[in-house]
Amino acid sequence: MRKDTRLTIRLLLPLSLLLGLFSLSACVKDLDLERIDLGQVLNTAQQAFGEVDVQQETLIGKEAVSVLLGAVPLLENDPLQRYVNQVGHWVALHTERSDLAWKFAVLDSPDINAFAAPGGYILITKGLLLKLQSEAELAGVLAHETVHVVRKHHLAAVQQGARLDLAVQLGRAGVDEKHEETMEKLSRGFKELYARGLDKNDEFEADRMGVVIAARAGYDPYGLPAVLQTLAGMSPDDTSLAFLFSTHPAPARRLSLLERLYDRLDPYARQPQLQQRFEQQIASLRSRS
Amino acid sequence: MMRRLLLPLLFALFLSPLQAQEQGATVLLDSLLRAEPYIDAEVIGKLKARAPVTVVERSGGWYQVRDSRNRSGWLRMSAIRLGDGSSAGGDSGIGQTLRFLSTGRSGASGVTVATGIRGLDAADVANAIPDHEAVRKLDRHRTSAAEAQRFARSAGLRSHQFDYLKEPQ
Repeated sequence: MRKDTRLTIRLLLPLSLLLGLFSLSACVKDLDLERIDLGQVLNTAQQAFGEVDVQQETLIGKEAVSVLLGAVPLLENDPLQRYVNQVGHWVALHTERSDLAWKFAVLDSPDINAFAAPGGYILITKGLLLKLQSEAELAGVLAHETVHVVRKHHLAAVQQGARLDLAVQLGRAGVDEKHEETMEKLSRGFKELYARGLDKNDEFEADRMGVVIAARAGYDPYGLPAVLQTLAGMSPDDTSLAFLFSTHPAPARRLSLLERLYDRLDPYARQPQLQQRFEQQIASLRSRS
Repeated sequence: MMRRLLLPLLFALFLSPLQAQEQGATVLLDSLLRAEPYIDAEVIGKLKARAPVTVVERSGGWYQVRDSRNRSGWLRMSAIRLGDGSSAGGDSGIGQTLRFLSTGRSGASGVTVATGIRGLDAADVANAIPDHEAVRKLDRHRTSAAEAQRFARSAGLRSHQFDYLKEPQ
């Protein structure tokens, strides 16, 4: 379904560009259809929605993550930041983009949430960490986030959501850090996207692939479902969940989709949860809050 | 006197993380309580839909629970929802979705209307001033692939081949 949408957009865009040209040319007498450079129109649209190379993706990701870090500061806790990077990088090695420069970080917020940005940036809040009960649960959350990067959910969304001019600019000129106007448009696009959230099907896909990635990395794959159970068990009126709930499908709905896959996860269910290592690592955080 | 106060306090301090894991839950569908976390383990009781239980621990896709008659056994993770059932809402999760919608915090705009103590929300992100210096700080804690591998091996984590699962129909 998602593919269809994307395909439709791919097809519609050149079409709407053409229509734009038509309406423009309606003012021009003696319209010569053959004169319209169809190739050029198609090319631009193709570039706008085609592949972005890793270097450009990283630049886009930097701008995206700077928006999030502008809203919430990093947690000042080097050992914990390092631990989350170790778990996260290990998990990310079990995705198709193992060679990305993955960077993980803990945000100093009591809110419960996690974010991903293009190029391999993953952020998790202190509030969510404190709700987790094992390294397998942390791995499950981080695996879910890596899928957004691997499947380029944000890139696709920002290209679809933003006005055509941004997409064309990215495609034609490339992303140039020094080009302030482009960067400004980029951060505006990501502000909108993070405030709105991804498509719910992107979230379901991240759940479905996330449990597999956690299992590949040797963890009990039920970590992510366990986190969703915890969230489902909290009061929907809990303010620390408000932003997460406004940008994600309800945890019960996510669970009901994952549950159909449980039989396939069972061969890996006895893999370690690593509760002790997790508790040791976040002990300082628990005692402070 | 001091000791009488101190002992429970120490208990509370050290045991609280364990106790915190005990959580109320609600049975979703009529279910069989099993002696062990296996599909072919001995059945030791039956639980009705909507029955309240207490979750003691988790093993893979199973929860160890205690019911109102103080019977202890294992249930499939999909047989219960943590919480009091108000948000359990059956297998489709419609109940929760409806309740969630009625709180007025979701909707097409996805913009949160903040009340009370406010955490991170859509407005914070929308009004954020991009912090590039903080992005550079992320490099400080980056790990190499080799380091991540050492870290995983030290806890006995081992990689497996496992193909992605198709979207359930």
